[in-house]
Amino acid sequence: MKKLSLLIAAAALALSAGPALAKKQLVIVVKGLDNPFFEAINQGCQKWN
Amino acid sequence: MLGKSDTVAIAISPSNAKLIAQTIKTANPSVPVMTLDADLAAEDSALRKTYLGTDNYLMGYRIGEYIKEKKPNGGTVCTIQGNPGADNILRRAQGTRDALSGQKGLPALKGEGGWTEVAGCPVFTNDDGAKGVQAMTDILAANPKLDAFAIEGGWPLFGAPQPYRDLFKPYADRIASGDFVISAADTIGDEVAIAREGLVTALVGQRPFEMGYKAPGVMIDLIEGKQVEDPVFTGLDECTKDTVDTCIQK
Repeated sequence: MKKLSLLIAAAALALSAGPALAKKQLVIVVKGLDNPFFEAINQGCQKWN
Repeated sequence: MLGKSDTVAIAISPSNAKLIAQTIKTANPSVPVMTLDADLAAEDSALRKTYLGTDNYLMGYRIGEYIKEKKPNGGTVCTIQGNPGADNILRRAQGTRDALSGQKGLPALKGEGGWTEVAGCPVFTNDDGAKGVQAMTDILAANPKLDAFAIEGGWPLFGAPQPYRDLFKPYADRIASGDFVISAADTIGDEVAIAREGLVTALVGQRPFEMGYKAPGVMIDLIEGKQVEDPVFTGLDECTKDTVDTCIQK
């Protein structure tokens, strides 16, 4: 059975709160990285990025 | 990921819904958690803020409807599934059974609506395309008069396209006439080409790009405490040999 693979894409979100910008991560965790379906999710996320 | 200080939200596609539910309970995260593509089991839905992805029950129902359309009097069927812990695939299979039987919630078909699942089915392939093609080869060898396959994830078509074609080329005439029906999930890789070649009756596809594109916005809404619907469904694309040029949403 395939193990859960962590993290295909993190969209870096710059928060404007506070005196300095802080980079934060939105994380998407998918079932596996060898499946074109999850690559399509990655491409959608990168377009948002 | 949940423990990292710079993670402000997480979207998970659980390969094993029960295992991930337990992980979330144990981690007790302070950041918003949502599911994507596959959900937790219904009884664990309080563990996540929302689900973004396909209406998997509807997807499976449409897969079943394409079979029923060709064979309204029923027959024998085999569902090809993925990982037995994956909630999305289980919901699709239930949708297919409900469409074929006309009843809700049957765990297996034994003549309801005229449909019977043959011995050895459902087959769990763990999302492995080659395994799916081998399984269908074996099922056909044991059941040469099988009427239909309901393939609940496109793995055999996009994961092993040439072995899939080699297996079903001899069935092309029967697929064309509707005497043998293959109704499959997804529209990835070679799947639409396979539909154009007449080697699958119908494809019911998802929109994974849309899931990836929408997910960050939903996570930001959750972080900001905005009201987010539960679930947020992405659409389906349905393709047959006659509609391959226009069936995929641009």
